[in-house]
Amino acid sequence: MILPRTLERSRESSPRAAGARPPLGRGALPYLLVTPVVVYFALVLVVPLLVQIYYSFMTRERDPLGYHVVHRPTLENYGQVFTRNDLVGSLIWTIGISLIIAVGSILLGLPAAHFLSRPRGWGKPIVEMALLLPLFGDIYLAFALIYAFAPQGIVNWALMGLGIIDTPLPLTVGNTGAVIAMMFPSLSVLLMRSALSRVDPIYEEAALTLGANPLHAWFATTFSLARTGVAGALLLTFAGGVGAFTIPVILAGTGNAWITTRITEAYGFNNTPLASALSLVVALIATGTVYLYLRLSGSRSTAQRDVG
Amino acid sequence: MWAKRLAAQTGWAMLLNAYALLLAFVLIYPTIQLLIVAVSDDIVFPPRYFSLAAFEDLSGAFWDSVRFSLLLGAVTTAVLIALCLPTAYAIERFHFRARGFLSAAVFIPFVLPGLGYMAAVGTVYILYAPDLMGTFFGVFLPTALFNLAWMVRAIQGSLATADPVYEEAAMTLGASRLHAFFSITLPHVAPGLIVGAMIVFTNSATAFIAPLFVGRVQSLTATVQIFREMDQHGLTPVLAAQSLLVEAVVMALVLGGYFVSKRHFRGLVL
Repeated sequence: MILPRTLERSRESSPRAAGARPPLGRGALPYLLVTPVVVYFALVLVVPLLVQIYYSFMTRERDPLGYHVVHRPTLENYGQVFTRNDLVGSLIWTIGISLIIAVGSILLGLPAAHFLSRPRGWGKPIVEMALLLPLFGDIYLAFALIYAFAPQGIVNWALMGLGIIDTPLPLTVGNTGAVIAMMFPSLSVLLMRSALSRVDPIYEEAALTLGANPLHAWFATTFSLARTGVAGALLLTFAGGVGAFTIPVILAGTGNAWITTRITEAYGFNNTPLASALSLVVALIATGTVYLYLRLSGSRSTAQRDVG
Repeated sequence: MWAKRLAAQTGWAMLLNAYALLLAFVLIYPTIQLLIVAVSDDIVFPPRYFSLAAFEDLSGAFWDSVRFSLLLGAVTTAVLIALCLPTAYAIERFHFRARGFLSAAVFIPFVLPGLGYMAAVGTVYILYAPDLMGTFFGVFLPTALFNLAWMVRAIQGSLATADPVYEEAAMTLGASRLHAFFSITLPHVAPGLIVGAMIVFTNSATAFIAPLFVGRVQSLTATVQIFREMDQHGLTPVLAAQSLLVEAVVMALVLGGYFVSKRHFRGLVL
């Protein structure tokens, strides 16, 4: 009978049970354990990023043999990012369209997220499965949508059949198809569902009992208590939109308006300094947005405690 | 009045239910679309002529790329398990300097836009390691990095819910840390490991940006191969058949692995 008591005691003194930090590692073991990942990170993440930062400050010069990079520091590349009309236009367009995509995806996803956060409803497993399907390669979503958006595809067939349009919409020409595909709200629904399901429905029921109409009651209680979660979904979708490359290039071709495509163009023309500067600006926007999300989700847990 | 309110509420609930089902249909539809085009003669909707010709036209290059995809998926998954298991264990079970920094740093590749990062990797390969261009290893290195956060997070999640008290008990009773890890901790972590492996395998087998940038023509995943064919020949039923096949193979392997391990680890939360 010694064992159970030992277990009992060690559970009490277990740092996790006491809410303290994990036990102090003895000697070099934890460092040894993390060494492979640290080495891998240093070689495959840190080195390329340092090279990229270095090249973003280097000069590109032309001589009779063509362009080449001279190792002389300059701010010229960043200057180009913020003054060259096509780049500034693409950057502003990318940020604007990412905002539209994020808002659109939230609006499309919110009703479904609410539906999933409540216990009742018909066909929930189907909806959940549909949301997880894009995890099996969202790239095939893009491939499939080209067929759907083509002039002979189902979307134009349906719109013409309903008499809304007379001639097929050019959804696969330009950026329209890519924008629609990126509004598919699978990630945002999953994020918002977890935020909404943490809110106790009792507040909404109280508001309904006191005579509010259902929509008003929902906005005033459930939505406003989950709004940091919704804002988080908005920020993550926005960050994904700014750095998006795959869906735009598949659905809108290599001529799409996204800033990431300008990076591949610069890279393709061997303009490594400009490609590096552009990449770092995009990385800064995306990581800044995610940092904002992390700050928000940090404050969300305290807000939830206040409510509870 | 109450009856009216109840009716209004039920009406709202039914509307929401209908909307969610419509959204589910829109999300599932792309797979149906691939199926429709793959078994018809052309890409017109509604389909006019049934034909399996698309499946007979699959090129050798496509099957090569499928083999490459599956190999990339398997190797990335195996290597990431080996890399991330010790790291997640150290972060979750030890307190050491740089622990907080490390557990946050793991997420950097997840946040970083993939394209800008691949431009950097491409530059490094061209300048310092031209031999890596177009090789399996050259494609594998950045692909694994994109997926590292998934694996660490999945294992860490399982470790956090497994009470360390059992490991401590085993060690108190004389087991070595290694023995305790393999006989107590590993079975506890198995569910997280399996979920992580499912996600990592899917992501790396369908990798797009990394092989597009550094795969040249000989080291391409099926995804990039399909994209290139689409760029050259436009939309054909063959591309739909290829996309459908890849999606089906990946999904079958992942779900098959899931059910086999679910049976194997019966009794654990999965």
